[in-house]
Amino acid sequence: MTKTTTIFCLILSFLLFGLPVRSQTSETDAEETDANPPEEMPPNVSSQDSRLEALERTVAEQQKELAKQNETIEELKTAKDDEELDDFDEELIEEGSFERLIKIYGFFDIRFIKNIVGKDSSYYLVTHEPASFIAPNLNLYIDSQMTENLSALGEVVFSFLPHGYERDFEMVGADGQPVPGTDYSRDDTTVINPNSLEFVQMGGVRIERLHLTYSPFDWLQMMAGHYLTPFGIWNVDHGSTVVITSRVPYMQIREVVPRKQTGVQVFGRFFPTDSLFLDYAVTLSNGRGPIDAIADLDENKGVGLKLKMTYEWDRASLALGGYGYYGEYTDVKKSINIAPSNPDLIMEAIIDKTEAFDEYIVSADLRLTLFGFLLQSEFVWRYTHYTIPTTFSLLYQRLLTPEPGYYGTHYAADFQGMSVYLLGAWELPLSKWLGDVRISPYVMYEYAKTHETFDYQNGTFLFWGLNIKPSSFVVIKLEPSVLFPANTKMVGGNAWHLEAQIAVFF
Amino acid sequence: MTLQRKCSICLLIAFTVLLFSNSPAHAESPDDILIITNKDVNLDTISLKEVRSYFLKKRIKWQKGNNVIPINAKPGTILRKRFQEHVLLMTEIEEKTYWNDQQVRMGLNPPPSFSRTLKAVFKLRGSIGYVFRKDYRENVAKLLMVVPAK
Repeated sequence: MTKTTTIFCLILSFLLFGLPVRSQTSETDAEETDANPPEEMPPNVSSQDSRLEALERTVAEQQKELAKQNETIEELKTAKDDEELDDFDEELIEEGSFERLIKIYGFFDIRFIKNIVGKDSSYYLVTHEPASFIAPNLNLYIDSQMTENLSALGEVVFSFLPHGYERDFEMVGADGQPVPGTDYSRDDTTVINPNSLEFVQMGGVRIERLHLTYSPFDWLQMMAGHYLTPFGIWNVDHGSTVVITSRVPYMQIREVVPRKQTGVQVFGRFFPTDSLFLDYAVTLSNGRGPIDAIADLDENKGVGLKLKMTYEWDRASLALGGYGYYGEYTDVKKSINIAPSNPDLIMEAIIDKTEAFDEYIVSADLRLTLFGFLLQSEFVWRYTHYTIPTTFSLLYQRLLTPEPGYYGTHYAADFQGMSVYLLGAWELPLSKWLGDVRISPYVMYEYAKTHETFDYQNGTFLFWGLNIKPSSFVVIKLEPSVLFPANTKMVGGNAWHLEAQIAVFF
Repeated sequence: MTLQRKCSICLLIAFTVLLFSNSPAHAESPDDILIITNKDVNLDTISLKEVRSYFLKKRIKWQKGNNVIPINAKPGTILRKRFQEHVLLMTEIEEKTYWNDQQVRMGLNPPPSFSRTLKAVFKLRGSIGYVFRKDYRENVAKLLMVVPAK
C-alpha cells in the first residue's frame, strides 16, 4: 500500500470510528465512577441534597408560572388579532376598492431647444431659429378596473396648439413679387375673456387613446376603441419619460406605420416556458384616413398582425417582433346637388373620391438588454399604390419642380418608403458613488427614405446624448442631433438641433 | 493506471461523498421568504421566474382564468426590500421606474401593498404574496416555494 492510500485510510477510519471510541471512554468513566460508591454520606452532602431539592421545587413552580403566562399571552394574541382583523378589513377594503376607483396619472416635459441650420434654410418653415423654452404637452391618463376582466383606459393630451401653428406661407417668385393667391398665416387663438377682460390663449385637447379591454385569459384579450398600433418599440413606449432620446425617430414623425387606429384588437400572450413569452395581436380598424378616428370613408378596413417573442434571463432579455398591415386610404369631397334629376328628392349628396391608395406595411423590431447595455432597432417598409392619385399642393409642386416659374399639376406616384434606426445605450455602473441616480449615454443612427420620389422627406439622422434619472419620476436628457438631408438644396445644408429636456411622471 | 492509484482515487471519492453526505441540508431560517397563495389557487409549486412574472404583471391570470392578485409588502420594509433583491432582481428605484413606465405604456398599475401580507393573501381570492418564515402560520395560506435568506 502506498503512503497516500495509507493516509486516506487513516483519515476515513478516524471519521467513521473516532466518535464511538470517545463515547466508550465517557461511559467507561461513568461506570468507573459508579463502580465504587461511597458507603456513608458526609455531612455537607446532606445539606447539598436539601438545597438541591429546594431548587428543584422552585424550578417546578417557575415552570408552572411560565406555562400560565404563555397561556395568557396566547389569549391576548387572539384577542388582539380579532381586534386588528377589523382594522385589517378596512385596509383591505380600501386597497381592494382602490382597484375599482379611477386612477389619474400622467407625464409632461419641458424643453430648451436651439436649431442651427444654414441661413434662410427652408427648415425654418417648420421650426424656429431662436433658442426657445417650450412646454409642449401634458399627457393625462385616466384608467379604471371596473370588474375582474373589464378595464378602460383614456389618454388625453393637452396642448398649446393650434396656437402659433404656421398654416400657410406667402410664396415669392423669381421676379421678387408675391405669387398671387399665397399669403402667410399663423393661428392665433387669443381671445378676450368678456368677464375679466383678460387676454387668454386657447389651446387644444386631443385623445391619444381611448379603449375598453376585456381580459378573460392571458392568451385571449379584446380591446375596442382608439388604440396605439401595437407595433415596434417606440410606438408602445411613446412617452417622454420612457423613451431614451429627446427626439422622436423620423419613422414615427412620418408615420410610415399608422401610429393609432380606431377599431378592435384581439391580443394575448403565451408562456411556453418560464422565460419565454410569445405575444400576438390582430388589429381590425378604419385604417388610415383623413378622419379615421371618427369615420371610415370607405368600406375597406385596415387589418394588421403582430407577433413578438421575448426571452428573459435574470439580468438580460431579448425581444424580436414584427407587424404587418394592409389598408386603404380614401378621401372624399361632398357637394349638394340642389337640382337633382330624381323628382322625388329635393336635394342629393354628391360624394366624389378625391384620393385613394392601398398601402402594404411591414415592420420588425429588436431589443436586447444585457447587464445595463441596451441595443434597440426598428425597421419599417411601406408600399403605397394609388388607385386615385392626388395632386400636390402648390408648395409641394414647387418643391418637386426645380424649374422656376413652372407650376404644372403633379399627381402623386406609387412609391416605396423605408426607415431603419439603431440605438445603443449603456447605464453606467456608478451606483457606488451616485446611489439611485442612473446615467446612460446613448447614440442613435437612423436612415430614412420614407418617400422614394420625394427627397424632402428623406435623410440620415444622428442623435447622441445623456439620459439621466435622478429619481423614478424625473428624466433629464441632454441631446445634440444632426440631420443630413437627402437633398441639401431643399433644406440648405445639414440641420443641427440642440435640446435639453426634463420629463416628469406624476 | 496502477491498481494502487485506482484504490487511492476510489478512497478519495468515498471520502468526499461521506463528507458531503454528512453535511446538513439548508437550515431553515426565520428570515426565509415564503411564497404563498390563497388556498383557492390551483398550484402546488412555482418557479422564481413565474413569481417574478406575476409580480411584474407579465402574467395576469391563473390557469382557470381568474385574476392573479399579487400582494406586496409595504414599501421600505425589510421584507419588501429582500423580495425586490432576491425575486424581482431590482432595487426599489428600479421597481418604481418599471411601474411608472408600464403605466405610460399600457396603463398597467402596480400591485397593492399591505402591512400584513399573510392575512391579505388569506382574505383575497386569487392572491399571491410573500412573508417571512417567522410570520407564517400553517393552514392560513398555501406555501408554494421558499426563497432562502442569503
